[in-house]
Amino acid sequence: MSIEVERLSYVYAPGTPQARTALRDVSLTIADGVCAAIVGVTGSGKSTLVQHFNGLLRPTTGRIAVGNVAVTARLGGARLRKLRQRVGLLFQFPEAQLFAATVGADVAFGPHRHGLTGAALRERVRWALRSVALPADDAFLARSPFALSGGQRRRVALAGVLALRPATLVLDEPSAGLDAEARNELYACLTRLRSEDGLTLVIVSHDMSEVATLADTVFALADGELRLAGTSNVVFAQRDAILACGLQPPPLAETLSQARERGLMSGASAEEDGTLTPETLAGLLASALHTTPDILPFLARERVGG
Amino acid sequence: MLENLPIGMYAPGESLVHHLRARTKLVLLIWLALALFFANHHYFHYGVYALTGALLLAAVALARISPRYLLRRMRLLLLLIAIGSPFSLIWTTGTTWHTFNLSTLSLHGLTLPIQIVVTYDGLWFTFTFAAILLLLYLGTMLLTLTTTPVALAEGIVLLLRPLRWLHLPADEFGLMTLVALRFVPTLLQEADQLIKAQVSRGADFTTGSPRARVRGVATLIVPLIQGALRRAGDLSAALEARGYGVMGQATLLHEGRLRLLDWALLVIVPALTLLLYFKL
Amino acid sequence: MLALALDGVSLTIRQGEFVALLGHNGSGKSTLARLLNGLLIPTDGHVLVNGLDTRDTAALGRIREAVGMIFSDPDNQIVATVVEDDVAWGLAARGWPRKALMQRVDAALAAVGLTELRGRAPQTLSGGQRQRLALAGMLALEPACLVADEPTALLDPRARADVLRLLQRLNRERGLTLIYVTHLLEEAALADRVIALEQGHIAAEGAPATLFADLDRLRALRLVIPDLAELGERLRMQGIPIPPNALSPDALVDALVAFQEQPA
Repeated sequence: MSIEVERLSYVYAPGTPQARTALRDVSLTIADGVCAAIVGVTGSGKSTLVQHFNGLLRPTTGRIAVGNVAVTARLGGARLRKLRQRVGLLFQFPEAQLFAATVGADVAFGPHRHGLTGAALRERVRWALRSVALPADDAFLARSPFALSGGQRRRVALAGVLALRPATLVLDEPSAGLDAEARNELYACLTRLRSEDGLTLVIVSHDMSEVATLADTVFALADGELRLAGTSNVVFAQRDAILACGLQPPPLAETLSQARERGLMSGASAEEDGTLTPETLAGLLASALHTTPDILPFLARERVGG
Repeated sequence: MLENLPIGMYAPGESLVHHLRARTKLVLLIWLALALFFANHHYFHYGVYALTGALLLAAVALARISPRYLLRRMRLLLLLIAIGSPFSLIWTTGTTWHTFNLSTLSLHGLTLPIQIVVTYDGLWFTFTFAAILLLLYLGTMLLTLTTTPVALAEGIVLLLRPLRWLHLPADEFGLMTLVALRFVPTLLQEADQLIKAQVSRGADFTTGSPRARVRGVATLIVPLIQGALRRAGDLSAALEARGYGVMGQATLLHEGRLRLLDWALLVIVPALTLLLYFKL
Repeated sequence: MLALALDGVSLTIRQGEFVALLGHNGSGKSTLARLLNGLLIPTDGHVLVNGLDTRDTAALGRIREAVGMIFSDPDNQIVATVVEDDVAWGLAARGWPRKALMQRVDAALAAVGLTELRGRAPQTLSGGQRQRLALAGMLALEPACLVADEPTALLDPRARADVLRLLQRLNRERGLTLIYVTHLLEEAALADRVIALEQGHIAAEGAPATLFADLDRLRALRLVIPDLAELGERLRMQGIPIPPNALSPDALVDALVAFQEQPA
């Protein structure tokens, strides 16, 4: 489901002395099926922006269309419920929203509210749990969410939103506070949801490594304004603009820029269209530094080995 | 700037009301509360109520607190009083003040009058009850609006200190007050975030059937309590790490000696209320 | 069966050291941190701070004076509703005379760069500023040692770098012993010594330059391996000597430049 934002502005507490403009004249389009990242420091307006996507906030001025639904001040009733079902929103530390006594009841809450009952509801719950790589057997459904590990709790919360079968999933800082294993499991779930179920993903983050790993489109906000937009390679190449937003470019991209700045890459080919991985960057750097790039790695490996 | 301040918050200022010591304000508030309750036994003597009302309104004006903000905060209480008053007017027995004949009802040839009897007791009781609620609520709001939580906590500690021999934990009570006031905005923010999260997955708080709303509220209670408990646990560790309860008597940061204005009010207000109560 | 959060851990931390306690969630690193100032008392064994046993309740006051602590969420450490009151709170609770107290408060606010904001309400500060406020509240007590339990976990990148730099400076310039709990290799790389914990045991210990040379071992400890650590490993395999603790772009590029400039 595509999201089109046109000249969107949002003012908190309008008409009062402490009115604060959180978004100013933001225009962007998130195409169907992409994984878009919205990046910016705390207070840049990124959370305010995504809360428009499922109608939690309404534009002060400007337009926003999610699929064929226009999010306006008047949106309500069945159309709003439909929008909230189509756009799943997962807040930061979503495990804090778990409330039911069992995993099953918690995941079932959303779809039940949307009218699903009986066998269909049970099947939906199991599907959602399987989608986040959790066991879907009766024993697990009967467990208390509070007895699970941090990473599992977060995926139960994700399942609770997925159980609505949204077409778009918005995640605010999805991996904050998770350890390596839990984080990798979460990334695997998200990648699978996108490739197998065709979900459009919107990730709000200030972790640029995470953005570089998951997203293909990046929007950078600062002081409520859209500063950068484009594919991740294009955005990450604009180092100074990223720093001006108060963000750190992904470490690999930053290493490459610094190496270039200090004249290390003069001998290298200008090949930089592909996504940077430790492997590709190591190749680039090594070929720039070595005069005989083909022999040295072999020798080096020998030395490490023996 | 007050418009969006949640209840229990401090609004910085430099007025005379702000400069009064927290203990002065606490003692006056408690004194006036007692005076209002006792004055309730003195039928149709408005003196104490008028004095309290005048004092509080003067304080509102001096502290430059917008009446609109106060009214907004008092809306719920006003509504409750509006709903409750008719019942207390009708259902209090005593000497009749006035009988309202509404209509008559004919039943098997008998004509029965439908009338509402309002007694003097009903009138006085309704008036005093509403006045006590409104004035005390206003007074408490003024207290927290014009006193920093630290000063308030220190005031409570100082006032309770003489009662230590009863093993009354004065310092702990002060800290409890401070922490409670300190965490109001944090917990409100947490609740706001949680409401949005649950709404996003289908909960209903404002529309829908009463059943749906009850279910909606149920999705908030467990997470909110869990969050508050987690914070309380972290906070107690942090307080311990910062040396709470390790030693001795605390230094007072805000509550200094009482000044002339404090003494003046502490003498004049009780004297006036006593005069009004016994002589007028 | 008893679950042991820590099991048979022995270690010594010297005055002025910067030690990182590294481990994934549930490895026991926070438990260890809380044992160091007597927030937790060991089930078995002893924790000695300057020779004082944390089991000795009479010594607890002096131990907490020597070992300060900050946590992830500054909101849960801030007690007062004005910045300077909060910094003063710990000293006031100890009954310090007003004048000496205010001097300490001024110094602590200056050390963390919050002097200008001393009259503000904490909830109007940014996350990074609030964490610096929590730090000032500890510094006002002038501890010899500071335990920082994942103090950057909830901050954005810039605030994260600020807080880390501030702590490093306090360690270097004032000789403050810094015990830094983290699950991030990038942060642990800045320490003098890293103690890696897994299932309540010390799984590895040493200078980051030696410890981070074996990434497979760190993977086995369920730690996030930063992209730059993998890059460094691959470069080393290609004969470019990148120190294993070069986990920031600056440090890594410095090593590349040094390699290029060395005579062939």
